[in-house]
Amino acid sequence: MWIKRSTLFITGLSTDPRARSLFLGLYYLAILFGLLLIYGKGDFSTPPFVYQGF
Amino acid sequence: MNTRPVDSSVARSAGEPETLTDPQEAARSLLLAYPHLAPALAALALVVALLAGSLLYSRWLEQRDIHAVAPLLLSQANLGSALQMEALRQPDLLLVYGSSELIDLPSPQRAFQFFQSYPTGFTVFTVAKAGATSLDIAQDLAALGSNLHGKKVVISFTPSMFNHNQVSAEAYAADFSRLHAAELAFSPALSFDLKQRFAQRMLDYPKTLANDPLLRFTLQQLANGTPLGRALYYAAWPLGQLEIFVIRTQDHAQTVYSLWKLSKLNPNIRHKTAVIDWEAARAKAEQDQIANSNSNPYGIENDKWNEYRRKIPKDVAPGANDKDFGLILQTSQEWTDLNILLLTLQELGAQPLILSRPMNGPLWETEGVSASARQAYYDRLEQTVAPYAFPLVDYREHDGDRYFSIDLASHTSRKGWIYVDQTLDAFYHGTLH
Repeated sequence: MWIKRSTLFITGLSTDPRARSLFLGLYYLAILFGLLLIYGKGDFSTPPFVYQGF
Repeated sequence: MNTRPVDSSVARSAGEPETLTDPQEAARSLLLAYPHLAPALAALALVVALLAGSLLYSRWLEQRDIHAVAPLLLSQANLGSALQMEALRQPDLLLVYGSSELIDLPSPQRAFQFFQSYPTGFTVFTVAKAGATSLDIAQDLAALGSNLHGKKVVISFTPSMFNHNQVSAEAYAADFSRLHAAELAFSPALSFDLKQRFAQRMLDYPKTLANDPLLRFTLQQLANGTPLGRALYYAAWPLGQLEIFVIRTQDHAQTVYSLWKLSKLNPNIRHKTAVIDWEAARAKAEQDQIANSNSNPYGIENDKWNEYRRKIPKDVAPGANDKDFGLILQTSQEWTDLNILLLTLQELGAQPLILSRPMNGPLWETEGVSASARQAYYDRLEQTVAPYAFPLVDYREHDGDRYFSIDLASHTSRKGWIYVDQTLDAFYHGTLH
């Protein structure tokens, strides 16, 4: 029952241009935040140090 | 005037030209034709605003905490540029670049501890990692670019850096910073010729460039030097700037993360002005050094002596290894790299102090390397630095002093540190003669 209700709710939202834009915006925001989370800190690691005598 | 919403895809398929003249109407039509455009642009604008805010916050945090992190030797200070750049902006911080001689031997005489309370109005900001060589340090400095102009900076190293043909690939990789390499490759402050010399050396270590095709390509074009190579280098320039922007942003993010982790950091450093009695400090440090190395006649720390004792060759005739020592010294690639470093300092307009260390004469005698062979190091160093007219301090008069350094690699002893501290103090205050 809840699946049907949810489907109807989402269908209703998708036909409303404002709600659709809002969800699309959130969708893109989630993608951009995901990219920032993955690549934001970068990789500053180095291989282990090998002593060469100085 | 056409006031109807236009389905531009239909318009395009019909081959009809767009006739809209009202910008508002045109924008509305565009958004209707591309419903993803507005939400995507809004999300992008939000992220750009957030990034800009984060960068401002990171700059504020770095500025607030730079004095507190000066004695902590954060690894991000070595591999990034944000903290080095911030330290450069502070008039009471003296940037000191070097390797293990700046950090080994835990003792209160090390500069970053000795000057921690700003006794004479400054402290040092040490950028050091064990095994760092001229090529690493030159890249650190190149990344600072024209910000280095007119700034005092200290370059520290030991003679042992020249006792090898060249820095090993593993040791170089352990100190390699992709940010510094990219900043150097696309630096507008350095001449093409110098960047070409950098590139030729950096390409000797291809593993460090394996994960960055743009950097590798750029260095290859720089090293190539042909007109086509030069054209391709300049073609890669915009992409290079984009890459630098991304890594700089990552550097700020990583720095903020490092500072957050230091939750008990107190940005309010208490300054304790004091007149330093250098003679007394030196006498005390020598006393401590003797007490900590009384198990052997070479000034080696007692806790390292057992390990070292096995390495000391027996019955080597005086001067027996002078020839081999001299050959490695004269052919070491490190001289090329030191020249690159000096040229970098010159082109960036820095005011550097070149700070070497003396060799531990008594210990080198056991290796069959005589004083005259060791003299070749001091002479070559002097000849290399002379054309640049930078002040050079190498403490050659302490070559025979077994309490100045604690091993063959010339790692500075407690007593040696007081000499170094006095030199740094004089350099900062402009009284070095």
